[in-house]
Amino acid sequence: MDSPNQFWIRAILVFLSIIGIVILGRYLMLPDSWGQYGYYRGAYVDQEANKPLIHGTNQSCISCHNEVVELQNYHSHKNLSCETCHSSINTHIENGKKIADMDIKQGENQVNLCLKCHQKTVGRPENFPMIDRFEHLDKLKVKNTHTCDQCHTVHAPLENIDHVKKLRMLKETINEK
Amino acid sequence: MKNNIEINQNFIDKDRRGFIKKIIDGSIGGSLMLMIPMKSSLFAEVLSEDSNIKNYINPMNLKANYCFMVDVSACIGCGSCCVADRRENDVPEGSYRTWVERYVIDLLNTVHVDAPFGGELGYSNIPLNETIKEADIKEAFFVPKLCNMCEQPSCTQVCPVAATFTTPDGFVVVDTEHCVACGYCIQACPYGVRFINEKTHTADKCTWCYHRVRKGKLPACVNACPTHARKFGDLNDPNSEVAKIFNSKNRLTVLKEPLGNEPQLYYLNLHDEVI
Ligand code: HEC
Ligand code: HEC
Ligand code: HEC
Ligand code: HEC
Repeated sequence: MDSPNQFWIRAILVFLSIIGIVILGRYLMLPDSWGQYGYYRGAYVDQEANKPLIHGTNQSCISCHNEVVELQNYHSHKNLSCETCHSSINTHIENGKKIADMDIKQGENQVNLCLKCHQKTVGRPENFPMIDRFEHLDKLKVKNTHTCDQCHTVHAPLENIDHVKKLRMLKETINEK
Repeated sequence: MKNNIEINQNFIDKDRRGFIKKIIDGSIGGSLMLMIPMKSSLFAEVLSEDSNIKNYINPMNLKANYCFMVDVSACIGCGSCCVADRRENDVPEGSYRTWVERYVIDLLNTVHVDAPFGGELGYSNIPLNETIKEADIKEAFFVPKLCNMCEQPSCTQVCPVAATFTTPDGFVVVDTEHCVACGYCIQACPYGVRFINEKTHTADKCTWCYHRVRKGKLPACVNACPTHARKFGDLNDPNSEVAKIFNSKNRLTVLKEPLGNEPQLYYLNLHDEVI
């Protein structure tokens, strides 16, 4: 016959072992930083923050391409990121040194690049400068195969055109006199 | 309705607190409390050991109330944001952390929405659905979509392993080592921004480029946007552009407001048709 005491001892033992198993399970299964900030693995916050940067900003090109950045900053492409048209900086620079050339779009690729933003398209806001490729080139009486950089400087697209316009005006005023 | 929910929430919280108090009072309380090590190290400085300038991470800015704004009237649908996002976050082909939808409304007020390739290729060469005649178009515009970074996220609530959570500075992220890819969060998200990443085999989502923000950079898509349609900033900083817009008379909209997720992604000049 079990004495009533034995029942209590057994009950307490079972109870303690459950607590022990829970503590042990928690110890074994929960990651170290669990609960650091809340009910999740706190270390992941820094892990996520530590992911490498792929893109820089236009500031990150200044140290080596100051003229281009300056040129662009004073013209209508000032809001464009260099890396939109070239590629991300991590393919070009590592630890402050150039590791590979940047993508420079030429020919048809370049035309497609420009048209990605400038082609007349349903849905684009009307005040955005849009052209239809063939209409634009026809109007200027050049061949359809002309690339955009034959007339526009890519980093300051209207710079030389404005220049020509001014020269023309000057010439006209001189002729009038 | 909303008040009701809040009251319930309070009730639950209080009840929980009461429960814990009772445990502390009880004899087994001590050992139970030992099991819940909830120390708060919110204000600890977080610096990486090998911080060269490029990868220096700032401490969490807990005073900030980060918010994202999208000006729909400025978007030209070029897809630069999606390209930058894919490169920055190594998103596999066929999945999108952010995408740009095209809305076309015709004269009969029928709304046509499409987003071929997530708008990544831009819309210059992508023809409209054949059923739409160009003469019938009343309005057309592009709507960039990304994570709404809800203040009351549905996705974190359903995660069975607490692998997705809101960081102390307010970003909802996915712990890629802890996630078991069960897909509950994908179903729970009312905005459809989550997907299973084929490379990591976990759930994945836009994080507003948390890693860039902590390094003092704008999210990749904001940086890439040529027309400044995407804006990111701190609402608690009165000099930031977003705070100025927020406090101005501009009408700001959030998506699916009645769901009560309280998104922190605001749209400017959004049409009512957009869901
Ligand atoms: C550490 C300096 C450095 C930084 C920073 C840098 N570059 Fe360069 N880049 C170079 C050098 C060196 C060349 C080669 C120049 C040459 O051949 O004349 C080059 C060439 C280029 C070229 C032309 C590639 C070619 O085939 O000739 C492009 C385009 C370019 N860089 C874009 C960028 C952009 C965009 C950034 C910023 C995201 C950037 N670079 C940042 C050093 C740098
Ligand atoms: C609109 C797209 C576009 C943007 C934005 C852009 N580039 Fe370029 N870049 C080009 C193209 C296209 C070329 C090829 C040159 C040409 O065709 O005239 C080029 C050429 C270059 C070159 C080669 C040297 C040269 O001048 O010919 C450098 C360096 C360069 N870019 C740097 C930059 C930097 C730095 C920025 C950011 C301030 C930038 N680019 C932004 C499209 C762009
Ligand atoms: C990522 C989108 C993007 C790409 C790619 C791009 N542009 Fe632009 N472009 C813009 C924006 C934005 C403006 C400024 C529009 C404004 O001022 O409202 C602009 C302005 C211009 C303007 C001046 C229009 C005006 O009336 O002020 C010209 C010309 C131009 N771009 C030509 C080009 C050419 C040529 C290329 C290809 C090398 C190109 N763009 C590539 C976005 C782009
Ligand atoms: C033959 C030279 C030439 C070529 C090639 C050319 N453009 Fe132009 N583009 C011009 C001139 C000149 C203007 C200014 C027109 C004006 O002011 O009325 C202009 C204006 C523009 C504008 C501004 C339109 C506006 O309404 O403000 C854009 C955008 C543009 N070009 C884009 C392009 C793109 C994209 C390409 C490549 C497919 C291209 N251009 C090729 C000469 C050229």
